[in-house]
Amino acid sequence: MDFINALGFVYEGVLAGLLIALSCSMVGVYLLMRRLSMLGAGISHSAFGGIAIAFLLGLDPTLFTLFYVALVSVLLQFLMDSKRLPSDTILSLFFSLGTALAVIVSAMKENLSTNIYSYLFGSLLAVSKEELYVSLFVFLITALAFWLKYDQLFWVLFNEEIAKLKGINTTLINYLFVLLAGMNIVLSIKVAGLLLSASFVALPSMTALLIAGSFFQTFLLSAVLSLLSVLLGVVISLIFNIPPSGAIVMLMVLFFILCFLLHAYKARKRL
Amino acid sequence: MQEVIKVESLTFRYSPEEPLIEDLSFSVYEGEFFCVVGPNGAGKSTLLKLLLGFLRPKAGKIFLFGKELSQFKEWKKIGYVPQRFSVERFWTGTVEELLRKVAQKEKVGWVITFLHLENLLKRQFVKLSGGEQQKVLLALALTENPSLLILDEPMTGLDIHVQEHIEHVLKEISKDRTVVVVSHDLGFVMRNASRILCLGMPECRVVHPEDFGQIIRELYGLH
Repeated sequence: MDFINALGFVYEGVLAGLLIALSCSMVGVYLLMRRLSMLGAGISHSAFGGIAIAFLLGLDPTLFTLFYVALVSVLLQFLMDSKRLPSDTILSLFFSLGTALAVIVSAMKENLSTNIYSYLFGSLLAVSKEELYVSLFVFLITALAFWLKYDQLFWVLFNEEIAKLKGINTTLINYLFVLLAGMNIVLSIKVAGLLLSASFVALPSMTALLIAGSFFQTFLLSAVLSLLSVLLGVVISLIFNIPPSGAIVMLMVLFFILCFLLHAYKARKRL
Repeated sequence: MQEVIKVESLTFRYSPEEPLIEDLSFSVYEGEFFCVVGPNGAGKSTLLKLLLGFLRPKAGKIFLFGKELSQFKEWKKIGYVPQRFSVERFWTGTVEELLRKVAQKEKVGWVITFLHLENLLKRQFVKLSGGEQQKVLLALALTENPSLLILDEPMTGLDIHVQEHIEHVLKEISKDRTVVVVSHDLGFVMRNASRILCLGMPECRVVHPEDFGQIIRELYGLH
């Protein structure tokens, strides 16, 4: 009965967690196929700077950071497109800049650091009704983009030149999905915390890439693994009284290890 | 004969100091097997990217099927086979997914049979051998039955048997369409080309295969 009561208490957080995990699983596959797995860490740390500025200015941290990261994502894609620096270098710069900004801003006002640093670990329990609605909104946009642009995404990820010959605006597709990745990463910070948010994006998609037999299956498996991790992670966290974000990411790692071993076993059997 | 490709005084450079392609003019006519050769860095792949509109020339004009490149919209007339190394290795799609995305089952049937892809359909593209990948890329380019086929280094990294098969396929399909191939394989070029564009010489030249032997040494700086 206590367990059911506790589940009712975290209901909004769990729902937000499921929505965010689902859309992160989709953008994660996109990022991994574009070899941009570092983007999760780069954007989440940039968002840290945005969160700090929001607190300093007394603005809503989630909404402000969403807009802030939208700008950062567009700038990131622009710099990656210009090809003057490797993507990893650009992402490392944004990673460092965001963190440095947060550290400086947090020292500017009294008690500011406590609020800012609470985002390092995040919490499902702290998700408000408004944040649930924002998560639902971002999830719907993400799902709609994947549904409408699935075929275009398929070709852009296969080969951009072939995609261009098919009349696909590859620039638009890349901007759109990097923007969506950024927005989803911001929301995952609330649920998983800054330190674990990149795992929400990277781990289920990495696992799916290992075992999927097709492009479509990769998205499907990534989504299923994300949902399973959140649901089981919340149950485990309630039973053992441990932070849900840690339990969820631990499960994501476990799924990866299991799938990796399964994949290695199958490969060995084929020899 | 109709000019399928017409290039007029084309100039392109990646850096302001060094023009890679300068004042290049040539035409490719309907039904030709036109090869582009030259040492590494001569601008062969860059020329293809310019022809396909992936890069913008610094000067000069390109016409495809009589229309200036900026006005050209009939991209279905062109099949393009990129270098197979340019496909992302984390991409998980299957051959079947690729072909289905191009056209319906009835339309791709002949390409599958023609290139013997029946057993590869369920397999993931990135897990195929180099030769199999090349055949799939060729199939993708052929599915919409293009009038012009452009291939970037189709033989690179393939064993002799696969090279022979790809060469045979190209010979067959060139019977009723124009083919433009960038290649390092001079034997392939000599056997198949109707004309050859030699890049990387002080003056880029278009020659016939019978004259090509004389300029190979000059082209590749051999003594």
